[in-house]
Amino acid sequence: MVSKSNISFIACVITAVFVLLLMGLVSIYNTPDTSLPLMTGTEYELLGLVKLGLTLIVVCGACFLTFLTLIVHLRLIRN
Amino acid sequence: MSAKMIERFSEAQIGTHTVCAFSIMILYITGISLIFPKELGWIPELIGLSKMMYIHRIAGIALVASAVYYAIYFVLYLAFIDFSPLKNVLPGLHDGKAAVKDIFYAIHIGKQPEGYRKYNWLEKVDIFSVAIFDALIMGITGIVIWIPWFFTSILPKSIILSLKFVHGSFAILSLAGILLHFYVVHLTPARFPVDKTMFTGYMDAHEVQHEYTQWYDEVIEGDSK
Repeated sequence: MVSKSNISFIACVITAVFVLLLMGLVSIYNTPDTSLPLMTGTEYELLGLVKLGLTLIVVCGACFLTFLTLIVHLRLIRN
Repeated sequence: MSAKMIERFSEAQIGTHTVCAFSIMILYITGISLIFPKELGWIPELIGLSKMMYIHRIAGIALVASAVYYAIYFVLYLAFIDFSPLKNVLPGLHDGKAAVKDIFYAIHIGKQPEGYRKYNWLEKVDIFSVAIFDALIMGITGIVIWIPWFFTSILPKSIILSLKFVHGSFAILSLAGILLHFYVVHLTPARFPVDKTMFTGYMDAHEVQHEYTQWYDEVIEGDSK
């Protein structure tokens, strides 16, 4: 019979293996190499576009969250 | 189930939430100061940049690990114990309808909506935003910018460099989402200063009946069988 505690134990073991693998990967490759190649002009422009896109996502997300907060607040007032 | 309390969260959920909550707070403190060095530069100065980044990475691993643990736990639970919780968790058309009804009710058009199922639409937005943005996107981008030299053979350098901005931007968005979560569970008058349900796992039956009517009916129906 599979119980909740058995499932929790199995999930814990798999998570521990995952974390150990991740830490192992990081420690093996944890040699800072600052010699990342420089970007070309096109890549630099693309990075600017990415930044613009991300700014738009953050602004839209923040507006959506503000709207949700407002709805929660107004609903609270009506209740 | 006792006479006045109904079990809402399992021990696995409480544990996962606790780890997530602490790790996210640490991630904000140690991470946001890097995005705004002029305003929050005193934080790395106080802790020390290398120590701060070490703490940031440990907290990041804790957050991703808690998400991985709960995902595995939930899949195993569905497979071996009970499949029914899936319908409470997955967003559906009923959530969209409930959201529209709530919005209309909030702006004084329409009647008071009937109570929710076990988790309402706002709670689903909350939890899925944490799972997708905080654990998945922030986790993956965090690992890439942690060891970029490992990924230079797989990803173009422009993508690796842009992931740093993706990580920072979603961190700000995540912080905005957590503020909404704080408002709902800490500053709502009925729950101020803290909603204890997430820590005890139990919710007052009257609150369930009032707020989560459909779930309350299911629980009562289940008990009477």
